[in-house]
Amino acid sequence: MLFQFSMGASNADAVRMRGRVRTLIASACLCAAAGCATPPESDPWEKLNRKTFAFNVAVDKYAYEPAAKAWDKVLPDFVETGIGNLFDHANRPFVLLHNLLQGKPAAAGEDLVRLIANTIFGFGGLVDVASMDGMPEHDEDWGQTLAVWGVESGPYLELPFFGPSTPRSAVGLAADTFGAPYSYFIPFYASATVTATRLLNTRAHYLDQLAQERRDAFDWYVFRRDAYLQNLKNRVNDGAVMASEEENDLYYYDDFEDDEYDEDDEEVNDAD
Amino acid sequence: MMQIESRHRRVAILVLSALVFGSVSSLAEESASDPERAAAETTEQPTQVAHALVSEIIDLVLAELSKQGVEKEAKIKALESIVFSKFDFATISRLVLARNYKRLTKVQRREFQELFKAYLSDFYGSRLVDYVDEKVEVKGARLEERGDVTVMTKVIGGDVDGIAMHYRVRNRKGSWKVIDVTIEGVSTVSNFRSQFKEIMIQGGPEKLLETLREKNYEDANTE
Repeated sequence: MLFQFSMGASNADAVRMRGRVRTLIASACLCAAAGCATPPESDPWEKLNRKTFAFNVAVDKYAYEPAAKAWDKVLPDFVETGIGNLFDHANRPFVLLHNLLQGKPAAAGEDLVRLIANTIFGFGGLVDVASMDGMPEHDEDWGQTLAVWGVESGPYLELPFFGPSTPRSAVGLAADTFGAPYSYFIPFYASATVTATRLLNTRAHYLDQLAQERRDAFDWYVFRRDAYLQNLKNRVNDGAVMASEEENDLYYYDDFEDDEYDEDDEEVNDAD
Repeated sequence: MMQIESRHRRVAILVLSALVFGSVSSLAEESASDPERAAAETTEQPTQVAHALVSEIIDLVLAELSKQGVEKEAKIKALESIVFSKFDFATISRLVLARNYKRLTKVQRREFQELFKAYLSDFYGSRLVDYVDEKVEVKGARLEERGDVTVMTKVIGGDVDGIAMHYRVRNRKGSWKVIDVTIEGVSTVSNFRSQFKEIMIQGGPEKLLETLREKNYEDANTE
């Protein structure tokens, strides 16, 4: 879309152009970091990832979680929600921009309405009035835009401090961070404070969920990795249906139908 | 002339089927309050039966959650028993182990099913019990290629506002039961499959059962 407008090129040109740009971005960002295309299901960096994961768990346990607990204790829930809403509100123009970059003008329009409604009726973004109206809220960023442009995700990558990621998402995260306009207008320590506040507020929101996850998981690393990768796919596709071979593998792996159910199976189901 | 006539007929059939389908779906709404009957009616569309099943589960769960003056423990137990009766654990056990299921002996399979059933019920029960202000909206049902139905729901309000939860429902021996729950694209079956695969590689069936036994024991003692 973008190239088409800026260069006045024909459709075919634009497609070719996009293909070239895609390849360019893909080879520049990914191959260097990822050692080229690997199916996302496999985890070639598992050894290193697990080490980084252990580090992150320790950081969370001794620094992040206690801080978030204190935060949660001091601030009432509605204040936390308000702060969360403010950050979402400040981020809305970027979501709008990314919807345009991904060729979704209707979604961008909804973002605009939400931005205006929350500014006027939501005390400058403190209250998310648009969600009370049942309006869909979009979640877009550089990582997802790269995905829509055809950049492969690359294998799972656990980042120190930032947690679950992929090479594509890591590049996106960097672009999101340096692309935030306030980082150019205010001194570094102030923008670091803003980021820390946002992270802490988010972490406080997930106190119970994470504790439960840690308790329930058989292998927490695998649990997080798989949940992250599946959720990432879901976000990129905006919640669309999964591919049919994937569905077949998940719900009817190859010899499933040969498996006979016996009486024991029924007893398990019936017993309360 | 012939062509025009046949087009007319086609339109007429379309309108008719729309009418029939419309009346059937309003019927389904009535019988949604009586899912036993809905399941018994063989003429009904799978999507409607699945829709009714998921609506029933949601109603049961919400009714349990809104009860006042009930101990958290008792609530979790009640929620677990809802999960017990509406999920197909024989199928879920096969799906989470996939090709590894064959590696278990008959006795081991039986034990795995029992253990995983207890685990999964606690997993859902202890998660659901914290939801208080939430409502759930059933957004629709989709018939999948090989006969399963996916029922799409959305949580409204509370901490998890807007979260999409999809129930995969399968008909086995004439009864419809849930075989997977997908939250924001994260499938429970898929997630446990990866974790169990890891354990099976490390230590085989015996290690798998041992891990589950330990986990259930911990869960029973931390609440």
